[in-house]
Amino acid sequence: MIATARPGHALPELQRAIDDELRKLADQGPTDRELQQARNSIEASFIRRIQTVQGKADQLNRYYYETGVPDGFQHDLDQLRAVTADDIKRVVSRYLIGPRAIVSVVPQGKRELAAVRRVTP
Amino acid sequence: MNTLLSMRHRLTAAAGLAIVCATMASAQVVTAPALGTTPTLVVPAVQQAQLPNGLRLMVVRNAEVPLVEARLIVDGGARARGVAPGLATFAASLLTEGAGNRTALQLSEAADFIGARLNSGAGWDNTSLTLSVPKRSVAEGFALLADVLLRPTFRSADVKRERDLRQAALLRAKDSPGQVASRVFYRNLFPAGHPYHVDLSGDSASTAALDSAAVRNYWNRAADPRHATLILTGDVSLAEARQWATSAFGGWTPPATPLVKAPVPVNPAASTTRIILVDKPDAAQSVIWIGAPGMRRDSPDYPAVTVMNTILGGSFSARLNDLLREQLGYTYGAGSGFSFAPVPGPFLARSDVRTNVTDSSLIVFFRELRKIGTESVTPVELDRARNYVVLGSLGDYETAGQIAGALSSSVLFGRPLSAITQDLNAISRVTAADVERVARTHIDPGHLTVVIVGDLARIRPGIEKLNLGPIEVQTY
Repeated sequence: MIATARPGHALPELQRAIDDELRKLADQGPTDRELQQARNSIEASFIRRIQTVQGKADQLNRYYYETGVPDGFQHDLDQLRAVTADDIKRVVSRYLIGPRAIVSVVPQGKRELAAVRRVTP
Repeated sequence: MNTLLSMRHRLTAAAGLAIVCATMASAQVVTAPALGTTPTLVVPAVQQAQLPNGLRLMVVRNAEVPLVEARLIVDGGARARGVAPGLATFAASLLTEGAGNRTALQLSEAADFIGARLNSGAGWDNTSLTLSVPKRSVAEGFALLADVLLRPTFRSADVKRERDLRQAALLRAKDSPGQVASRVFYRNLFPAGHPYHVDLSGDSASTAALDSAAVRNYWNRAADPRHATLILTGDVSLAEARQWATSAFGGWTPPATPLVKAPVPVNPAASTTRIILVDKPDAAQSVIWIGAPGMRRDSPDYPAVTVMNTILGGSFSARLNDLLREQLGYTYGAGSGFSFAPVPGPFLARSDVRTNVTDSSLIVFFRELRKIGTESVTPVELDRARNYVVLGSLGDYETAGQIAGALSSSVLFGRPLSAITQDLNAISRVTAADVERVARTHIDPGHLTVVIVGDLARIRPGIEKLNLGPIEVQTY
């Protein structure tokens, strides 16, 4: 997750907004429309990629390399379509909330603008 | 086929693949299949129709994947008569910032929801709207496209935001040596009154004058179905195209006072090679732009010029990049190209080089620009360049978007898509003598416009010693 502050805003504000959004996603999950949008975008990106010879080769290579099954897309697609809002809550809680590395890039000597270890208790 | 500095960095992709393969521990050693005969490009058939309101339809069907690409091209653009600098691109960018009953955010959310991409843009010759959408969501996609074309809101709050963003971009451009070089180059190469004299995005004064009324007035005049073409490619038949177009754009009516074309002033090459310097104190690199007014797309020299430029600077292994980057290490890249448009664009050779080799780089540029027209290219170079263009073209018409792009070029230049085959055949027959002749005709080292942006205190003495032509310092 990457965010850039406008002049006049410090990184802890952005950090809080990100934390709030992640917490909300972990607690409430996505809406049906959001879930459907994510599925639609992923499917559309896939069909765009396999228009070219190189895209098809990349896709076969990638599935073979990662799973040993060159044409593993149908399996992936089936899994993708089966994802529920509860699955999203679970993976957000597991992977996106909790210990993580934060890198702040601030003007020289303006350490007070940097994100802090924890803004929400 | 706009070849301006369009080097294909295929090497990078190939290297990435090699690393992946090398780490596949379980890979078996197999014998590579024998190469078959070289395939030739089969240019797809184009079907055409027209709606009663004048909107032309062009369809190329390729149903391999369930994707549809729609490109709506409205003639006119930034060089139409009476269009203020920067207005056409500004209006085009605002089309997707609010339309029908949706705000900018709602438009992009609606497109995202169906996995579609919706973009708008304008150039010197036209405005184009592009929709890429999965077949199952064509109806929703076309509804968005029609809103954006026919019912843009141009709310003053959106206009103000976009205007502020553009002013900020114009300010940033003054800090970017490449942008400064570009603007100074065009300003000097093309006289006042020529469309290319001022950048497509205008300047800060023209931007300050942009408001909701100006944008709406312009777009109402520009959006004329009698001067528009809807290109549809991908999983679409002519019957479907007609049906979708009729339901989305059947009610589109011509404006009362449409835009008209402006005459284009003739633009002779500089009477002598001129050097224009722009100071950028402490710059680590110098930006070098060398050019001339260019040539027409319909010139009989087009095939030979394409091969010539491929050898000179139009590919990674071309002379300019091979010398300045690979052999001398002066730069990360150098290239050249002819920009083709209905109004001839420039010939341009350029590079960003280390400050301390600015003069040495100019020596290489001028030597090569002269040599290509006075010494025969080698048979290897000639073969490589012809193959680069002809065989490379096989990958240029794979996707629905690429075919739609080729069709929009064919509309722009008034040439059928099948002319691509004629061009490629002509390119494969270009000789070394042709290359030498067209280089001499179209690149004259004695009449070039040279713009260099860099640390003048360090680079000017070396440039003066080269005696390339009169030197002047400009600011931007």
